[in-house]
Amino acid sequence: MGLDFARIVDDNQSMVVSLAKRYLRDPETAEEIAQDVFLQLYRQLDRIETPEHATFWLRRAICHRAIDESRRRKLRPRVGLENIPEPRAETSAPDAMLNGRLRRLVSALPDMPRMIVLLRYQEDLDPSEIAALLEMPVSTVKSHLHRSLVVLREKLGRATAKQEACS
Amino acid sequence: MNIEDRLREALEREPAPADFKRKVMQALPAKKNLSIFWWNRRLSLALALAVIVAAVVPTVIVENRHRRGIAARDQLLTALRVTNTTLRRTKQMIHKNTRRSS
Repeated sequence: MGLDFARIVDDNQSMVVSLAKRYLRDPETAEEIAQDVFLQLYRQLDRIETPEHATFWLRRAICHRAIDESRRRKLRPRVGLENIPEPRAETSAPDAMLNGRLRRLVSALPDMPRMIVLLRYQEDLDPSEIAALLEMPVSTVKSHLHRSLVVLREKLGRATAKQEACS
Repeated sequence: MNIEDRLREALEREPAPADFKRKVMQALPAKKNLSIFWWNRRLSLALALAVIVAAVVPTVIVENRHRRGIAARDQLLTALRVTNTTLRRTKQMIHKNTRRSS
């Protein structure tokens, strides 16, 4: 079947680049890996049956490549959930500010919880899909999600209270 | 808005850099060369297999013909033996009859 590779790039570049950037927190490396994943797909295009299959393949490939890259380069030392920095108080538009804070908090999560949170809330995958993608038990995914949400809620609440006290 | 909805909003996909697609498409020819390399390897392998088949198949055909020839020769010899025996018996009978009549 002749899939249009340019169309596949159009449809999936945002997903692939966002996942890589938010996971690796290094835009240059993320872009490099994202390109590489598309080239990898191009090499195997004859095995890809539908555009949905291409999306599934790309999501899986970028997750595993990003995890491998992070392990290989040791982009940052492992940080425990309790060590996530408090977000800074800001004075811009409240929603944009809150979203920015949340993104920073997510980017400070340890590797695996961070990937799981990204797949859950950026890609809207359910825990069983995430478990299949990352080859881990569903219970582990749920537990990472639960702990991450607790920490994010707590840190976000604390930062918001601090900002309200200042204003 | 609860934390999960907030996260969905905060983690919406961001657009890829404007030149991302162009970079990917530009990198493709290098990949195509790689693909040609693999196709060349596959072709070489196919040719090697064809040469082996071309060498082996005639040998097998000749061997089969030889085996069938031997089987045909054996059948012919058996037939000749049977004919020989029959002729000998006929000759003996003719001899006996000739003696009796003389």
